[in-house]
Amino acid sequence: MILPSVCQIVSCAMSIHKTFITTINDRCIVIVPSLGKIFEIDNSLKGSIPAFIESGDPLPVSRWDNLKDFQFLGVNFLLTNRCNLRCGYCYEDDKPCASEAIFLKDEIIYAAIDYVAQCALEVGAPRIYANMFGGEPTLSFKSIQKGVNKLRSTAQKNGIISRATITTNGVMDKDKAIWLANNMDAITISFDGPPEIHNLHRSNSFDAVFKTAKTIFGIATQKISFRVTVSSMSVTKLPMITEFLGKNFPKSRIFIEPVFSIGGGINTKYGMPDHSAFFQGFLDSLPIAENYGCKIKTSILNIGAKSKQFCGAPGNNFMIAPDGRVSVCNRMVTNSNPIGDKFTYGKFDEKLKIFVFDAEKYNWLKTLRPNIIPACENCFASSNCRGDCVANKAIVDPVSFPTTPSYRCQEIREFIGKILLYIIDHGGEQIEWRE
Amino acid sequence: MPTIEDLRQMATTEVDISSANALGIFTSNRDCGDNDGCDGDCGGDGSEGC
Repeated sequence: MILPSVCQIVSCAMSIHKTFITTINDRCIVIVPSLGKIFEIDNSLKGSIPAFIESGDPLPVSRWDNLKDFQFLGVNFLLTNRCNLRCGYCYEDDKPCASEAIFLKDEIIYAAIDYVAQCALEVGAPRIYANMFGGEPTLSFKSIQKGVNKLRSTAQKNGIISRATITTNGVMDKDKAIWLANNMDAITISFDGPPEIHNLHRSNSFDAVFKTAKTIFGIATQKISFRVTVSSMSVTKLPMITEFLGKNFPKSRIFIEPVFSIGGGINTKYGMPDHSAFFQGFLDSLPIAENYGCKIKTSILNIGAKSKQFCGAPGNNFMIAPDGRVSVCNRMVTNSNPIGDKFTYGKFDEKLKIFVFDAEKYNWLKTLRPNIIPACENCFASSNCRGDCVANKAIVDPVSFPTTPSYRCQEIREFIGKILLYIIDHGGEQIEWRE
Repeated sequence: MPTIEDLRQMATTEVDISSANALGIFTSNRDCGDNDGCDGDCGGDGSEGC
């Protein structure tokens, strides 16, 4: 077989694209992810569908594809391990009061921003980003402000653009919400729906979160997104949750994820929902989201994505824990699960004032890509789920998780199949019909 | 090697995957610009990939 990358070089104009074939409800569907195309083909022709096709369109290039080891164009700051809520399902350890309060030092924030700016200059990237995360990042609000100011000034000095984002539980003073609306590029608020659901999940914080969301929405409508965590209790109410958010915050982006059995999520009565029920709730939410001009997403549904990996865990994430450790996964670095250490590959050396990386661990992390999962090789859903979250898989199966399919593989395949049919049947901006 | 035109000739329907965007589905190529993937808390950390 001719390698696509070689083909691109020698033939200059043509590239080779893999096709993925599946049958859903007795209908033959072909996906060409690298061309962004879905075809329905008569079942009688199924045996004639080529495994590869040639096209003048180039293969997509992810922003991660051309980076060298330890090159990062953005950083996620876990500003503190403190939180002002006690959500039952939180992935962080469920004894935060017993642990020491740690706040990320400003010198580490500055060093990390200088580091990503240097990387951007090395590769000629036009943009750097910083995301503020926690714990609850707004408990370290001065660090947010200093970090954003440093990001903006560093980008300006180097002639590149910057993107500052935050994920927050929304429990904050109005002044802080106004500052975020005016100074961040994107703000994601954890919001689980109407009060009868949100208050049960998230420490009776509905009133405060709703006020914050309304404040930000009123100032910067386009910047707001919501993270909805769905439990076994709320899963059947997912369409109602979408209706609530759509009605109050039309045109917003809504990221919907199930509770996962880690940290506090293990022993809570609002635990991990049934996978099929979760995906069905998502499907039932689609027409509601469309009605309000909202866009909904869940992490294994990656329509139009260029990358072949689920997330930046295979060596692309630069996440800094409150104590200065560097990890590829925020969940694994703030949880005491024994496998979490495998996802931590460096730290900030306070004497040398530089980041020090463990190459052996980093090289192992780089292998955590779906191309080492045999079951994913020819799977039609793989361009969406991309092997699913390696951290969650590691919790489920700490030994063989790198090469095994997701614990919810069957449900994902059924879901992606239904999504593909939904896109075909509901038209969207359908290009062409043939008899 | 077959071309995309050959595949088109076999198809009864062809849909651009980004048309999902008009159906309420978040699509990376339209909603993230050139962003891609998940940088942090999967599916919603407000960072680039989301």
